[in-house]
This record gives sequence, structure tokens and C-alpha cells, in this order.
Amino acid sequence: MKIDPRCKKIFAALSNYVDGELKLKDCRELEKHLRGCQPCLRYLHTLKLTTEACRKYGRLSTPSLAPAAQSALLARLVKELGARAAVKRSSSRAVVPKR
Amino acid sequence: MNARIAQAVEMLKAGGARGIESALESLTTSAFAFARKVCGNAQDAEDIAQETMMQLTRSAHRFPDAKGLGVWLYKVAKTRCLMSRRRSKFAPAHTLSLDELMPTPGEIAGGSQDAWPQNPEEFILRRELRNQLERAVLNLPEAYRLVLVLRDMEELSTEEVAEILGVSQPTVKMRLHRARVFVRNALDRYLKSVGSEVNGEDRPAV
Repeated sequence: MKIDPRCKKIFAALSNYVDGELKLKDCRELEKHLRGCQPCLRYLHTLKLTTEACRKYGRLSTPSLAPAAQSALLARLVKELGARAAVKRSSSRAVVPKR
Repeated sequence: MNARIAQAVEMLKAGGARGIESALESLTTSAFAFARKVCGNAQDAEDIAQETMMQLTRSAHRFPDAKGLGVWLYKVAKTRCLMSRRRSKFAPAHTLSLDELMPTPGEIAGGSQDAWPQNPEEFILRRELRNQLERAVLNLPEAYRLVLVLRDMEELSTEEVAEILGVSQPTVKMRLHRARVFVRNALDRYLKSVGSEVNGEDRPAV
């Protein structure tokens, strides 16, 4: 089946529409097309669901390191930060002129 | 920048042993979760999170705000993800053409909209749908996958994603649209293949 060039134009702009980033004029044109084109409207609906599913996945599915690996890494990071802070303190003392 | 990173930066600024530890824990989770979504391999993600965080302790003093630290963290983690490609599942690098991704009106009309869940939460709560979503994202060529994960899953702005990947904002938008269409089409194919089972009487309890 041949694709209508108007559908093709709308198809390219759907994500910008979902993100609210289309210019007002383009937005009106797209909505006018959607009112008369069931396939484009269906596609938009499922594209929106896909985008929202990705956002939900990002928020709700946050894997963490295994507890033992997490604790070991945190201990290493805290130690490293502490050592760096100590070096910084001692080097800043070294540049203070003697009275 | 996303809420987790912004909160971690506030805790770092406030100082105190407990606050710094919580901030480091939160940033580690961000690096690990991002790498896990991009690589699809827990061991690689663990290595990437460790290397990224060790590098962060050497550079933490440079970042005055959440955006600066967040962009840096994702940039380092992204580079390490690409370096770990030997073990991770990386789809071959190629360009996704919009013409090829666009279904015909017939395909949409004879489509599976009735089989699509009513709300996005079902893609997370129902294991088979979550697996399909993860698989579709992992099947994306890396340039598109990185944009989709950063923009839609980590919820960064177009400007931040452009800075992390070193591309223009129109390129981010173009890749994001193609990535979403690719994932949407993969989910549609799956839902078509299972047909009425998904929303039918045999629907599994959530």
C-alpha cells in the first residue's frame, strides 16, 4: 500500500509533538491531519505509550550493585576522597608564608 | 539534570561524612543503572560504575553544579560502555532510516492496538512486556540506544544529551525519534504475535 506524503510528513514530526516541541503552526497542522487519519492517530497513541513506558522503566527499574560490591566500593571511594583532602590540606599549609 | 544527580550534588555540597557517603551511593547507582541499560550486562555495568566513580573522586572538586557533574558522569560512563563492547550485547552500528521504519497504513490498520496495554505501567509490571522493552532497546544500534536511554530513561534534556554525546541538538532529536519508532515497532510485532492472549482471559495476574 502506498504511503500518503502527508502521513509521511506527520510521521517524522511525532516525537517532537509528543515532547511538546512543535511550533504552534506545525502543531495545528498535525492535529488537523490526525482528526482525519485513523492510522496516524493509532500510531501516535502507541508511540506515546512506548515513550511513557521508557520513562516509567527509567524511574521504577533502577538496578543497584550487589550489596557487598556496593559497600566495598563506597569504602574505597570514601578512603580515596579522604586521602585527597589530606594531601590538599598539607599542600595548602606548605604555601602559607612564615611570619 | 535528573533528580537523583541534583540531590547527590546538594548532599556533596552540604558535606558531612554521612551526606558524602549517601551522595556517592546515589551517584554509583546512577552510573550502574545507566550502564546496565546500555550494555545489558550486569558484570560490565559493575566494572563501569566502579571505574567511573574512582575517576569521579579525582575530579569531584571541579563541578560547581548538578549539570556539570551529571554531564561528566554520563560522559565517562558512556565512553566506558563503548569500550566494554566485547562482552556486552551491542547491535551492529548502522543508520536507521525513517522510510524503512515507517509502517504502511495497512500494517497499522491491521495492527495490534487492541493488544497494547492501556497504560505504560504494564510494561514495567508485566515481566514479558518488560523483557520485550529491554530487548528492543538492546537491539538498537548504539548511537540510537544511548540517546533513548539518556533522554527517555535517565530523563536528561536534549541540550545535556547533545553535550554528553558531542553531537548537535537536532541530531539528538532525530536519533530519539528513530529510536522510539524502532522500539515501538518491536513491541507492536511482539503484541501482534501474542495476539489476543495479552488482553484476553488468560491474562496473568499482576
